[in-house]
Amino acid sequence: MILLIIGLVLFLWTVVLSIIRLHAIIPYFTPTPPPRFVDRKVRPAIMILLGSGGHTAEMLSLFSTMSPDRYNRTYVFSSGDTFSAAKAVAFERALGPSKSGKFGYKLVEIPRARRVGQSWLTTPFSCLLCLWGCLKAFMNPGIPNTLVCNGPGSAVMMVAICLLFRFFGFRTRTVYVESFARVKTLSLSGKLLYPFVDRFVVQWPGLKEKWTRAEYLGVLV
Amino acid sequence: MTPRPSKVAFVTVGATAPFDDLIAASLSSTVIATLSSLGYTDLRIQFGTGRQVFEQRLSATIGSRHSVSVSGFDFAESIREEIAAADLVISHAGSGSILDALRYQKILIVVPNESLMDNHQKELSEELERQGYLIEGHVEDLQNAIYKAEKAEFTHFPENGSKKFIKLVDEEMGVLSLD
Repeated sequence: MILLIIGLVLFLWTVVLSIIRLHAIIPYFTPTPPPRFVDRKVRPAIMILLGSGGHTAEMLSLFSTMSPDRYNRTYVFSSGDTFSAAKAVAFERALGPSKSGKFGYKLVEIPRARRVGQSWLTTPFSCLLCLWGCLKAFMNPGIPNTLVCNGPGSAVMMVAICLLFRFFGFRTRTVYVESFARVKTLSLSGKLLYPFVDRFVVQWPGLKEKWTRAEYLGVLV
Repeated sequence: MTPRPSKVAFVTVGATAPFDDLIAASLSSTVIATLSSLGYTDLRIQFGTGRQVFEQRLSATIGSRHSVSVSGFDFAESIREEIAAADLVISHAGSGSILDALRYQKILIVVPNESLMDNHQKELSEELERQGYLIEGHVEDLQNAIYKAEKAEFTHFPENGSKKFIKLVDEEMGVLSLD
């Protein structure tokens, strides 16, 4: 009986602590400023999620003026999406090599969260597989300083992994950019990720009215 | 290589969804007569999965083509070269094609695909028309949209905003202090 009570108390205590922790790491509840400096001993790294087709095109357009000399880049693409992989390689070629020779890029393939037209019954399983792929991407090439995504499903999985790492004290920053095609309403991934990313960027001013955390900097793509 | 100056109209239905109505409308005798009367010499059509419609309508226009030469292809790695070579772009409402056409400062008519469920495409073309960047057209009266577009004064579309975005990313990375 005593053991049962102790167990129950410990369990409740864990739940309470977890809720407090979640409250502290979810940007919607507890916004935190970006780091003012980066640890020079460890080379900073960015993870760029290529969502496929239009998502990939927009993402690479967003990064078209990136310097190859500031941080390592990891491009994550969904399995079978050779279009995105090829685009990323062409993009890096156009960017040119790092002048200092310190920084480079990698491509990582993850399982799809959901194929177009896939049954919603099997979607949870493919999402789990995708989640596992995201976790592996965080192990190798490593935990990024910042994750940038613009949808679709795999972006939700990747941000979930970011939050998991945050829960245990790692500080990965997250940026979500809503598509240029979204004028008045957010996409499903946008709605889902709105509370969970540090920076939520939209490309049409009207979206700021309802989604007050959103930042509008003009058309970016 | 033709000696006379060419004037090209380029129609694109995109890569994701079929849009046979737009192919048929572009090859209707009224649209071809309109293009001809406005001095167009070439009509290029990216027809996607609509090869059958393209070929049927093309053979139906023989004899009434008014010196407009018509050609087409299904898909391309990039349609940017096609857009760059065109004077007028008639596009489905996909944001990628719209952006490309606006950046090349082409006369642009966007025809929303009414058979598609998500209406956010329509929101985009409506808003861009309201701001004077393009003309919205419909498959039933494409010729009117072409006349309207030829006469219209378009607003200059803003440049790519990547620099502003990279500043935000650098801030998040903590490398802004390197500037």
